[in-house]
Amino acid sequence: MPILSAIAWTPLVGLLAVLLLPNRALTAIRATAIGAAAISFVLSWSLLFRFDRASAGLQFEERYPWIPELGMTYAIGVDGLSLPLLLLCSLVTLVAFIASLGITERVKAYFAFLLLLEFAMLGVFLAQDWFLFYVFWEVSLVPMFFLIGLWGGARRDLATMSFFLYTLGGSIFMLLGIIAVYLNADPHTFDMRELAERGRGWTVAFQIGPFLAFFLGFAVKIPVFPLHGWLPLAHVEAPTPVSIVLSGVLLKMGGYGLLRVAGLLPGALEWFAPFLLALGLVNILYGALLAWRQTDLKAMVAFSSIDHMGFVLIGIAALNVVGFTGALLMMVTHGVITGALFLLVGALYERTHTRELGDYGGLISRMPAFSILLTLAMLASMGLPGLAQFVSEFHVLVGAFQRWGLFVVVALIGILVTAAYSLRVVGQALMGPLDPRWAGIADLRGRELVAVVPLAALMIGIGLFPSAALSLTGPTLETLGALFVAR
Amino acid sequence: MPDYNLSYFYVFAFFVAAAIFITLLLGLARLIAPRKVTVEKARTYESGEEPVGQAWSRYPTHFYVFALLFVVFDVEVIFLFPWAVLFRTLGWYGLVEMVIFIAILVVGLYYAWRKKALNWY
Amino acid sequence: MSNVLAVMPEIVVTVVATLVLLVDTMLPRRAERGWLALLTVAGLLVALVSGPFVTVPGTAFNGFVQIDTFTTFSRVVFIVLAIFAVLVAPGYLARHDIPAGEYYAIVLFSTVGAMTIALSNDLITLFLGIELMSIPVYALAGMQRHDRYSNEAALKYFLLGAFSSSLLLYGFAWLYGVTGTTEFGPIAAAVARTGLADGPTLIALALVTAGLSFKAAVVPFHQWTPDAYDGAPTPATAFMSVAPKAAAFAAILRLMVGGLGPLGTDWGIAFAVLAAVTMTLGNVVALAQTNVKRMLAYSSVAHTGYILAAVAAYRAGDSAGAAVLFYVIAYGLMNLGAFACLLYFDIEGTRGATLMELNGFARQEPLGALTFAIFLISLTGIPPTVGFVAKVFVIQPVLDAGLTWLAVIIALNAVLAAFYYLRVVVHLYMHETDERSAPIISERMLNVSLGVSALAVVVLGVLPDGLYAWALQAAAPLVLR
Repeated sequence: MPILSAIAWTPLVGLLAVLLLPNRALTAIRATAIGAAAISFVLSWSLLFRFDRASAGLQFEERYPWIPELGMTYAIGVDGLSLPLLLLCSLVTLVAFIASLGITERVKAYFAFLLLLEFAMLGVFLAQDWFLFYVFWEVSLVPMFFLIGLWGGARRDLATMSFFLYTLGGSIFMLLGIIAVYLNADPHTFDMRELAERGRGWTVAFQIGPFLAFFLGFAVKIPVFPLHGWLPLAHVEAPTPVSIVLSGVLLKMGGYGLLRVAGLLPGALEWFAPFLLALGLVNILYGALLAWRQTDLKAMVAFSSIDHMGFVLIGIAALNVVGFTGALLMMVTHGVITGALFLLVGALYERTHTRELGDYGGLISRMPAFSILLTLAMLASMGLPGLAQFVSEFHVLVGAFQRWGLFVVVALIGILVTAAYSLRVVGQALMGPLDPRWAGIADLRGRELVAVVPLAALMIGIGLFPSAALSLTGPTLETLGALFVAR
Repeated sequence: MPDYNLSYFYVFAFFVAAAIFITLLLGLARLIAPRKVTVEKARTYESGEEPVGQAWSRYPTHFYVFALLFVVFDVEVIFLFPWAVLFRTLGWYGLVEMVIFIAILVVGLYYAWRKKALNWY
Repeated sequence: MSNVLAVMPEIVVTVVATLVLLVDTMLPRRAERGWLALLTVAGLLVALVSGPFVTVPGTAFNGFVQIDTFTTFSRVVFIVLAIFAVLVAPGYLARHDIPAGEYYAIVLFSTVGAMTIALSNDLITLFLGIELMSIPVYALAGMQRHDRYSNEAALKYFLLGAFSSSLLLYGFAWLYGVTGTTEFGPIAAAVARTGLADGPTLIALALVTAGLSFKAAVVPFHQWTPDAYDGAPTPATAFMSVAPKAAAFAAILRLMVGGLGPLGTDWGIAFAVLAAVTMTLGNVVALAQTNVKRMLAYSSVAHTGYILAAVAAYRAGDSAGAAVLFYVIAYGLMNLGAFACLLYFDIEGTRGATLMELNGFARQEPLGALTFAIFLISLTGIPPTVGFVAKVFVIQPVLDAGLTWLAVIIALNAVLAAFYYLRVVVHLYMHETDERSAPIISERMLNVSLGVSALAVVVLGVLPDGLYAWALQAAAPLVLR
């Protein structure tokens, strides 16, 4: 059985099934949608048993001609670079589906769009053809546009338009980059692996143009400092499950793309690395400081995403295996942690209808399970040793230090600020006297626990046994790292 | 100078010659002729009916339709003449062609008739 | 006899047009005229199948007519667009008291003209086709006779159209003067020999370029577009915005790429600049519109720019011609669809809906809103729709021809366009019905034809291969050697 196609297309089949169900059959719609996401999840995690950890090449490859006149193929496969993110994607999306049970308006349309989104995201991580990659990348915009625009908060018009325009503005240049690379290859091809082999031979002068075009597309998605304007808006206005997917998976598409381009245009990346480092450091400081200044809990988590994605950038700027590993691992761990954080913040908002940090207080006495999980996620987010993010931050810092030396110290300031606001949340929201308004507040319900506990388990799991994750990525990233002069 | 440019030159030369000739004649007439202005001579029509009413007058738009139909059938006749001259050489092919041509025009006339475009009111 | 067979589809369409007129007059005054549309469509389908079965490739009428893959492809495009334009019209025509028989006949006559352009192998046939295509469309714009805006549209379109035709004809005359022939093949040979050496050739080229640009609505020859599109009855606008444009590009491909191909370096750069100006101006002005119909009118100018960019990239070879053809059919489907979606709103006169009048449409008519959204997303150029694939097919030859700056301008314009297209989607979906919303009309024929074409937009977006391969074949005979 072509397992990767099954993983990617199951959500689409689920989408069709949902569309055929009558509008009022809410239970059936929810069950079908979650069922489809669960099948995708089980199938993708079953790859862990079959994935050859010693190989750097593509596995479970599938390849069919699509538009042969221009060399576009339906080529999908996984390697050490895409598998962790694929697993993250199917897990976080399933969590988002479970968190979506609270949606009561236009349920059918909601699940249809969410399934389409999952299909597109899985496709991005599976595609082994740049054109296919781009198509999935763009398809993900449409459901996101509707999800924010239809189920979002008060300023949803502005949020969804700015999300769409920012992303399209970046990605359309990526399309130019892809076509430029395609035309420069002889014979013309969109195939990622073939292009990567040819691309290494091109002059740096040529590589820089397409690289900048690619980077523009990824930078908006990551998001990199001056192009992040859409993110706080989108996060604050989006419903909780959509925020989870947005920060847990969608942002990772940018980092993943950048790592892929590292293999395609290494010369340009090397030329660009100092700027990448600078942008990464700015991201870390800017994100951390802005997160620190927020009193709106959701906005704080949103800005902390900018902060943490900065680590991905400097991990890539390190241009060595350790840095790349850190960057990739950072994406996975951040996806897990931030997914949990948005879930918990969403659950709290549902109960209190406020996101102001000052309104809370002493919640631990009424919501023990919630408090423990929030504390765990906050500690993981600030990079406490023994939890997942520590491993990735450590890799990033070691890798970057090897290449850039003391510049990396700036990142440490970011970590410090992160610790400050994370602990402030724990202190102000959970400790202290209980506000009488929240006297009757209920702890996490069953389905909320089902959604968040696997994420929490993963935070601890990766933190304690990082080798399980590292063994997946090893050979692929070794090959990638070998392209750059070691330092 | 290439041939075709030369032929443009001839046309141009013709224009120039015509212009000079006319200017010359009119100028000469003005110089030689005696001039006696009277009231009668200054009228629009030196001899004949006085104009009555305004030059801008309204008339039924039906005339447009008639004018149009007239032009159509006028053009039809223009096509019929050369066809009639060459009737023998063109043979059956020409006859069929002409029947189709006329049939299309007849359909148009029929349409105008049915749409009451031929009624005066 | 083989001459007659060569133009069989054209003859069939002409006969159907005459037949529709006759049947219309024979029906009683108050009779239901909905099935006249079906008669028209049936006739068009006969013409569609008669093409491949009856006509043989080659030249006919002593070299005046050329039947090749390009002709066959274009015939299908024009017939499909005409079918679509006829199917969405009946309800509107009945409501606004527009003579249905005349409407269908005019669409058919215009289609014959467009088809004639596609089979022309000679300046005379080409001009005949262009006039036969344009003149009925002038009448189409003014069909809502008691509406002032419709009259304005018809008059403006006619005056500027006639002006451009005369420019074009004058250009043809110069071209004949320079080359001594009206047939494309010998013209190509002659200009290949002389190049742009002397003034007369330059004048001919400039006049022809300007004349064709008028027909295709290229900036700065686009001024008639917004008023003509805005004032014409909406189903007529839907047809006007796609078929004459497709025909104009067929003419550009036949004459510029074919006959004047050897002068490509000269008109190529002119077209590249015109393309950049056209798409930018069209999009920028469209941003400021609050009336959706007028916005779509300006956006169609912008799309002209994208298509022209592919023409300018003629150096990339067949892929440039194929890009033009593919974009033309993609644009035809989605733009006709988008205009036709305005037929859901019952509004006085010929005016289209404003953004406010669209509020809450998705709640009242979910499927209609979905088709509208699909057309708009396709016009924006987002996968999985045909608009996206078409844009990729255009960018590919543009980059291949070394026009990187033009590709960047296309990219920037795509973002500009996304803003105003999505604003419509926002009003459709994300605003609730209020007192400003327009009353909605739902008709089965409109629903079905829009649904089918929206489906086609998506299917062609996912599986464009067959159509693109065909477009490549069709583009192959264009360059005369």
